[in-house]
Amino acid sequence: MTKLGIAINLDRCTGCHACAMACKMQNNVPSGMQWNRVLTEGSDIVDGAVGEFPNLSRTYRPVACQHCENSACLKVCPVGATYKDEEGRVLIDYNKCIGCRICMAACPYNARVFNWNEPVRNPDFNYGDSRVPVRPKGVAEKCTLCKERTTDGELPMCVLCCPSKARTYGDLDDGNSDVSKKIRENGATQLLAELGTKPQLYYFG
Amino acid sequence: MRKDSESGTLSRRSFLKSTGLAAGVLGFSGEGMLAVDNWLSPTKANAEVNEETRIMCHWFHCLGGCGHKCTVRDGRLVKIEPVEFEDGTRGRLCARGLSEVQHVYDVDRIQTPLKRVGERGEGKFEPISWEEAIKTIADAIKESQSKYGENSFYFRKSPEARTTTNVDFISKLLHADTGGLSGIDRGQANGSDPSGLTSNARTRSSIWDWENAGTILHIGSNILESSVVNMEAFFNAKEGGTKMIAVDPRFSTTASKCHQWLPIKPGTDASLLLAIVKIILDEKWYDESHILAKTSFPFLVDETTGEVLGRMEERTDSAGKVSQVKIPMVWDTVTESAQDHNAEGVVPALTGSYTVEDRKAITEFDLLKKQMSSYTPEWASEVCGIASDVIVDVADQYANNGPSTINYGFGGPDKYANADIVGHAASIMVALTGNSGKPGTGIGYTGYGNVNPAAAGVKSWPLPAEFAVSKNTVQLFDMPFKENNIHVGLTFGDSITLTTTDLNKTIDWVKTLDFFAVAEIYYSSTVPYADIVLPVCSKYECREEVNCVRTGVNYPDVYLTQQVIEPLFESKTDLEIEYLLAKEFGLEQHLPKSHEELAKFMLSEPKGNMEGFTYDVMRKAGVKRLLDSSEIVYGFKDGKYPTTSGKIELYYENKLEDKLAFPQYEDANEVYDANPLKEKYPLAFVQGKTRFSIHAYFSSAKWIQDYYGPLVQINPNDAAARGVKTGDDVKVFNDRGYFVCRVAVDGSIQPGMLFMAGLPYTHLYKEGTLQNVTNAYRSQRHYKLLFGSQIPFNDALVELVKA
Amino acid sequence: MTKTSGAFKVSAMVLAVIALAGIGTWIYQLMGGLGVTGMNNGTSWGLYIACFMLFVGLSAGGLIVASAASVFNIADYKKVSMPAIILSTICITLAGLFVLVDMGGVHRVFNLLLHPNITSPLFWDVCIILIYLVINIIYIVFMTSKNGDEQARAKRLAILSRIALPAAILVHSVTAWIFGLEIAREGWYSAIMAPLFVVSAMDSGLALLLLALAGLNKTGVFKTEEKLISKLAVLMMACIAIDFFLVCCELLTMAYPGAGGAEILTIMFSGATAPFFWFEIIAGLVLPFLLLSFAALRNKVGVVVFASALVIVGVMCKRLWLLLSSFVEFNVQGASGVIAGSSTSAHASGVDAFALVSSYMPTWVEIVIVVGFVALGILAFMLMTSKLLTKKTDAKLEDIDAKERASA
Repeated sequence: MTKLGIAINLDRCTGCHACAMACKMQNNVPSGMQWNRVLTEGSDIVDGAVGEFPNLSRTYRPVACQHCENSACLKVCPVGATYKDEEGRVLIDYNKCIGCRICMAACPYNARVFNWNEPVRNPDFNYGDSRVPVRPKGVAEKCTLCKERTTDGELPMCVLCCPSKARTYGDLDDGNSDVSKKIRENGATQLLAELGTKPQLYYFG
Repeated sequence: MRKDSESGTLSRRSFLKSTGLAAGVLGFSGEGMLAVDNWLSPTKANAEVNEETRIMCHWFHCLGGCGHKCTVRDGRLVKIEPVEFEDGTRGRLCARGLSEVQHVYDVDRIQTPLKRVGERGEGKFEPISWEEAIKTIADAIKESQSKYGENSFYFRKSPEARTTTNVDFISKLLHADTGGLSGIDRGQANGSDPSGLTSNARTRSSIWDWENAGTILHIGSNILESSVVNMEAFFNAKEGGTKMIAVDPRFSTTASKCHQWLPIKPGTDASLLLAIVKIILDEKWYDESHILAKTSFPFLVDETTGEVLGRMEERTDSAGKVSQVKIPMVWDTVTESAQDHNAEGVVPALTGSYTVEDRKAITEFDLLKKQMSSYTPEWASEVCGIASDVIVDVADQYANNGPSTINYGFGGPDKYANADIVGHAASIMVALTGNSGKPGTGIGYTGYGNVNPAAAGVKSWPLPAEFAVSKNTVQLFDMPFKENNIHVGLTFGDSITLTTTDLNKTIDWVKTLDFFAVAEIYYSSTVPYADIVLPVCSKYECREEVNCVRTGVNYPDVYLTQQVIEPLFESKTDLEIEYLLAKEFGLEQHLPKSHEELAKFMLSEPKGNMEGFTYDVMRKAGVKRLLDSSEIVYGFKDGKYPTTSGKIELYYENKLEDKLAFPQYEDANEVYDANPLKEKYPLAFVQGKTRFSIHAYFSSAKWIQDYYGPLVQINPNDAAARGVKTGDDVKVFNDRGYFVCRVAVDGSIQPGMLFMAGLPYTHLYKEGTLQNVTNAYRSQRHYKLLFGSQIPFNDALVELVKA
Repeated sequence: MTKTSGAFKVSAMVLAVIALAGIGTWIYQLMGGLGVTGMNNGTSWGLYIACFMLFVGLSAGGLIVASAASVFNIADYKKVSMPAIILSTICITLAGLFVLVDMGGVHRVFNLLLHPNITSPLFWDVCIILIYLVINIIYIVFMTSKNGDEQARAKRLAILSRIALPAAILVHSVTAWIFGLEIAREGWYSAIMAPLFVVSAMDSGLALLLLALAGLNKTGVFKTEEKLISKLAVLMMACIAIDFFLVCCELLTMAYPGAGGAEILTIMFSGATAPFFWFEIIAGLVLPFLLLSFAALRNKVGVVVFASALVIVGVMCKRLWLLLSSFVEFNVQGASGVIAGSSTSAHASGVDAFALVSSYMPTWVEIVIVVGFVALGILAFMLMTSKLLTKKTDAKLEDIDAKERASA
């Protein structure tokens, strides 16, 4: 079995947002949407800090679909539009989606965005990878682990574009993969692990 | 963009509407031109794909020079990826570069040549033809030059609106005044370059050499934001065990990723470094053998006059110029006499008082000790706010947990009136501890990353010798304040608001010019003051298939960049514009007629690390790694320094009259505790870099605007005292002027200071722009420095109130 | 249609106009997308789903009263079976409509049949609502049927009632599970959701029935004894008490650990949803309970009507605080938060498109559609009652009662 995932080294993450931008571009993500957000944890402003000057700390945490093994969104979808593919990616069949948004209520990570309108793009043409389907209004969308790229053996765009090489991508089921090693050697943890959704995105550092 | 109804003034966009242009020429906006076509068939991948990839080098002020592999679909730039090299490795890029997919098509692009129809600054224009625009500019230059002389024409190109490398012909062809030294980014270099340790502020060591360092001191360098594409080197070193220490008044991104952070008071870095020098001397943490062999510290100095003892010698440089140089002397412990420092068999004394030809002489080393005596850690602690035991600890780490590197930025301490003292003191730290000439050492600005030997064999387009710029007498930033002969100006990009302070005065000066034209890509801050505006292509656009040759700065690469897309709107490349202008003066025969001709010439003799990189090879490859790229570079391997003595020179005799032969602490101009002005304006106004822009560039990128806009940051206590909260509009002001923008209450900002990142276009502010409050101070002593007076961008006090 | 008075016509016309406005606005929403609502990526469900929850509940009173009448053989209730079942049918239809209105891809709704996912509580809910609707319709058919003898008809009703009662309980439970099974939402994820929904359904459903009966009394379409009204009011009072008890159980469980649940309580007690929470507790539960607990008051139809109205508004408030409180804060917190989405209602671009905590305000579109649908419901009720309720059916039912009692 293949179970694709990403491990993110938070110490190497400087909040540069290259991953967020790369994702937006690659996946033709419309205005007002992000599949991949970089959060300044515990702060109410971007690049803020936790604590009182000068006793401060700051952690950036990129958050996108966690491609949970036990995905909450997948179970609740009434039409099976959300599914887990053979590579372990959580994906959406936009032709099935009825836009009920129960998946958005079910996702603990706010990873999904919805096409509330006919998507608006700036620039107003379809940018990014031509293999990525264009989504109509009324469907939910989210990170696909760059399905179109990873299926062809390419790296997800966020991994490719991360300037500090904070991201490691690979097969979690293969104990010898780089990503498995990173997770094992660094004691990487999952986001909201206590919920038991078993994310395939790991964080460490 | 200002709301029209509220301010009562015309915004640019409403101007476009009111003059009927929205529907006409200018209305050819990003949105209008690129109307949604039938691609939007639901949930289908783009059918019939007509796409290919092109290679582009994204070279900018960030010095990234990143290779972009651009996907073009149906004539549109749709995707940017890092380039692939022959060895399978990939280049790097950052959020800014990626945002170009939108930014290139942004509505803030200048679309046609424009002629001003309102008052200067009002921003009212009407479109004109290229012919009319070029003729108007040429006529204005001709008139001014015939009336007031050749040097009455000011011309400058800044990297934003430069689209072709090696193109800067007009200034020379027309003998323009180019504004002289910019006064930017050489503040610390004024103190460190004379030592021979840095050149143009740059370190000689590659950022990839950081892995070999035991300790790295980041002084006012927020490299993780200002040089995003180099951050991998930072983390490789950190993970390899290098101790990272940041000196920064705010908890910058870099500070947050370092092991240790010294939250220094703004403008006081010199006191910290002087104290470290003293500690190293007192604790004998210096490297005596290095000092004796490689530095000027054993040189003898006249105790009374401060003059370095030595004999004059005639020297002929490589260009055949003859000059008198002093050969300093040392006390030779073998012969017990003063000898040339470079004489055979000399074993110099490090300390001691000697009498040489009836003059009382001591070594520079002893003089340094004497002069540093008052710079105790306790004193420095008072000045800079860092506890004295922390200062001692940092000195210990720098001196004893080596090899050590000093990484300084182009921000922070570089932007105060006392910047040269910082650079000088830091150089002394390096020289004392021997942190030079071996792996893991060095000092200087590292934003250039790789610091590989320059690509050999990229030729420059020559102009006949009679074409040269006029001798500059008044630097651009001084023009509003000093008598000058400039009557006509033409700039590529914004060289006004980005490179001057006290902007209201500068704008007043611009308004006095007989004629002012700007060639720009975007509606930047100076555009509203121009009489003629020319639309420039982005770097992705070119009429020809070949754009330009570009050698990497951060990377050991060389590019022959390709046309990514056709020029948008009516824009032209800078080469095309310069060619049109030259034609008006009958001088076009000196210029390359096409991008291809220029590129072919530049690559006509590839040699050295570019052996075989001919035009045809490069045409096919787009990008190639230089042949010697695998070597990790560090400076001064041969132990030779580019000074007259060949050693690291720390004693600057030419600054004797200012009592700065060795550094002495000097307060910044405005930002210091005892300044009485603090009662009126209690907050230090510090600006810096952000990962979301390069100076002003990317201000208009809509994808960037999701994260970044004009924003001033303030400490929570200062905010509470002023009754402001995150998201409020605030007015920041002093006697020089004001601006209004949003505020973020941010715990990472030191009490008593404000921070603002980047230089967003003026039209994005509610009112004004940040340069309205910055300081134009310079003292006479600054003009005598190696790089002349520096602009103290950070040396300003302000007050903030809720708008 | 003996009661086709001028007033009836006028009110029917007014309601029809409002209903048409609602339908027209729905068409507008279908064209523009859900961006014309106040919903966003943070608060992805809003007024429509709150109304769905409310109307599923409101339909309860009817069917539970009607089927309890048969199952437990409560003669009094049987007298109001017909208006009760009409109410029930209309409310469940409206509830279904609110789900459709909320869908972004309503034209793909057939996927529910083509590609059902049996693990989805929403799919269960679609099934049970359809079953429930069918039962209601059969009920009406049976009650108005003239086929077979009266005894056979009574038997058919009795059998149907035995299916209808558990279906009614289930429809509320399944609706509750849409929320109660979501581990992502601290304020929803609770075993108490199903009982709470059932009891809320009963008190609000009874309240609506009481309002309807009082209304029918007033217009003279259908006469209900005041004694029965006060009897039903007692039942409602009991439901209110249980509702209050369950809410308290849930609150205590949320508050005690002082963890995530307590944060949501803060939102309910003093945050964005506080007005709804406190209205429900005070005016929707405590006040009606107190009013009805005095026999003297409870016997006054006016007081019962007032209390019933409070209960319905209270339960609507409960739907809102229950639904919305759990959307306010994000599990994974940090700036810049969650991006609103391409919703035009967000009216924001750049950094303003992000929010650290989610907020929601229904737009005119949502309000017009909801008001329109409610008007449609009232209109349907008027028409159906005037058509189906006659003295005769009333008498006939009593007749059946007598026969049943005799046979028992």
